[in-house]
Amino acid sequence: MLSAYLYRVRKSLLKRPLKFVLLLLAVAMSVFMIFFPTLMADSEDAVVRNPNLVLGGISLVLMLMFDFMFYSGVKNGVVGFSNSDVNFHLAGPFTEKFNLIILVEGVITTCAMLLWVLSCQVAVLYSIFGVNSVDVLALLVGGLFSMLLSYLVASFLGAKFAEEEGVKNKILIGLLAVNLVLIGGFLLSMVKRYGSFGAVTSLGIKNIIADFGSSIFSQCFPVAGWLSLIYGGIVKNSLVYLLVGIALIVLFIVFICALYANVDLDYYETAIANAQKVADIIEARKAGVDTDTANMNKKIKVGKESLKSGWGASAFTYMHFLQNARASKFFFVNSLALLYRFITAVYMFMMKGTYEDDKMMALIMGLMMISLLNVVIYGGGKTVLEFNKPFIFMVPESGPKKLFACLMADLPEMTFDSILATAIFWFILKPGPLALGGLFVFIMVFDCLCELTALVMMRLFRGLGRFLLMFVRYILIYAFFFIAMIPAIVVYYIVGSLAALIGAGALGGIVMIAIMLLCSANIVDRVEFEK
Amino acid sequence: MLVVNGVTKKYKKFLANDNLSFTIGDGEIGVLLGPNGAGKSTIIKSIAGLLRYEGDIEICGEDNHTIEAKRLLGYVPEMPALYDTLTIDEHLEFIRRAYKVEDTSIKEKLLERFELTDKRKKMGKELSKGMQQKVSICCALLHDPKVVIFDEPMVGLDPHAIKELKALFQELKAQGKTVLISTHMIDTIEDYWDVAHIMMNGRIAATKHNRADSSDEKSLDELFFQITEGKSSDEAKKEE
Repeated sequence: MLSAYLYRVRKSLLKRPLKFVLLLLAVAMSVFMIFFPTLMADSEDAVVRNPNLVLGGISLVLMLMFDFMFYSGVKNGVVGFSNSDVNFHLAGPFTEKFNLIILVEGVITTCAMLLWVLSCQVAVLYSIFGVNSVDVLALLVGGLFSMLLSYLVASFLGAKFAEEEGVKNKILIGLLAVNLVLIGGFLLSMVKRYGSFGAVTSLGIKNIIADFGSSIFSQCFPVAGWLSLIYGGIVKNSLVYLLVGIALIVLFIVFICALYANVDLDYYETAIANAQKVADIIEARKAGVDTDTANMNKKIKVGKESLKSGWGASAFTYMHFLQNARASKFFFVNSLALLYRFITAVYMFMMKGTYEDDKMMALIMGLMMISLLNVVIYGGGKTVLEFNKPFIFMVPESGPKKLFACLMADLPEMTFDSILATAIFWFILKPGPLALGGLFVFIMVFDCLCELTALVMMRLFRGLGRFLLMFVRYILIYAFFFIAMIPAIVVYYIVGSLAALIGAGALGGIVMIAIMLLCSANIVDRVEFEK
Repeated sequence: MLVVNGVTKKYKKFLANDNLSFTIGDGEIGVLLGPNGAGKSTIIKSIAGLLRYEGDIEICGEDNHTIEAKRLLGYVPEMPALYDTLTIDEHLEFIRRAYKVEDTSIKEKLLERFELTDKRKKMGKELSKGMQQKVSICCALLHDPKVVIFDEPMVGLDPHAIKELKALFQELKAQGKTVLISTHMIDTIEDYWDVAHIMMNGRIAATKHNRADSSDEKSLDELFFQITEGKSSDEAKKEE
């Protein structure tokens, strides 16, 4: 399988030189980022490395990766088979377990993308934790293991209980419970040690993370904790840590093998039912949209909602509203955005600790993180999927009008997300009311910018594939953010107010939205229907 | 009326349609015949305005990319592409609103005609391929288009629906509408066609009109196999 996969990748790259160049650029960027701490070591701004803090940070990131993959694996264990997989693999002379393992191919791409995004954050990790190049390498290798091992178990459980949504939910509640027990246990032990909760919080987030990294609670966390144990053994020259960590990981791999060898699976029916949806997702991913696959298995039923509004192009808006309302009572909540806002909150806490005396810097770093995460969340949404159906091309209205009508349907999600993100800023940095208003506008503006960038990229580089399209979008949003920040920082130094800084940044974003709108206006008339 | 004039479509180096020109008049049924890969679906999609191409396509005198032309055109795609979580009823309601059709009774008539009334609350993802195809046909006809193009319309349909569809072709013709059908199944088009274009390698290799005074000419079957298989024998000779 691996040689076949590598053969396909090699052939595909050779046929697309631009893709090859961009892939090289992405790898080069990652390599540069890995060596970034080494380059910074001799500079005046060098950050002193605290090994415990580094271990704590690595443990936390690996735990997040484990949780993310476990959730995804349980929910989508048998989602991922394409129609051709159904015809050639499921109907072919292969066992159900072997066929389940072929899905790992798709997961490796997801892992590669997540690790690349992580490697782009090395500068931030350096400023917070003082990581060195070996730490970064350990984080990336550990991340890969954490995600793969997590996925292998979770996808097996997802396949075993493919038709039993209740059991799958209980498994996920179990995962949540493990997280709560270990983190809760750690906090309780801290309270016991320092006397009160107030005394613990007064230590600051960095000291708490440093304590967590070397605590038994983080080391007990499945896979992620054991991997940290191995690295802790290397860093602290502790053979016991190293051997215990390796033994636990080996045991876990043996457990996975035993699971695959001894437990029967029967998931083909569910896999076949999902194959067409996978075809849609693959189409969307070609356009660089990472649709929320976690919702794919959701049992959607027809309720009282109906299509009562919309005329001409606006029928698209209301039709999307109807689909969203049918998929969830909380139609304005994007579950992926919720997860990312949690990451944002953790990040903001760290930024607050890092830039204690510089609220502006903490705020800019937070806004940058939100903008970059939203590249994944607001990647065109249902609008991109419309290009897989003929209706958007056929309906007798002007192209820009139809496009705008589709984009309008994403506004409730963006509004809720902006309110949530603003609330996080309020909770952590306590900016004034004017600045809060500015933050809301800024986040909305950048959400729209992410959406429009995704559409323009789809028009220009559709053939690049998921990973590289995401790479290009990521770079562009980085560029947009810095362009918006130039006038914002100038204004801040003249006026001296955070509200002015955010307002000027938002204005810069609005100008870029206007440019992107101009670029994407005729996209409906220029993009080809490929089905 | 549908006019296709000098249409060329390339996918990188591959020439899918090579300078195609044909006209289907009002009240006429045109058929595009050809083996797989002949370029039938490409020209159908180009007519529907889904692809970029060189050349001109007019729907009742309007360029096919104009809003007016879109209003006059109905398109039944080869692969029905419905919204997973919209019901049949909602698909038709969406099309009615998007095309600004005031009359709600057309929707009911179409549902009844294609035996979809009792399944109107079923979502797109719950439908079989044939049912999805029926919904696609209803969506294409709901706004009473003047020109209707069908890409392999019979694939996946049950015998009743095929019978109904053939009757529909005749009705559309009687109403003076222009109908273009693409198919590779020569035996499904029987005798209701007016003009047949046989496509091969992106070009129209032959055109045959269905006229009462053409009984001495080769039948459509004979012409089709002469063109498609003739090429194979030529190639075989070259290889020798």
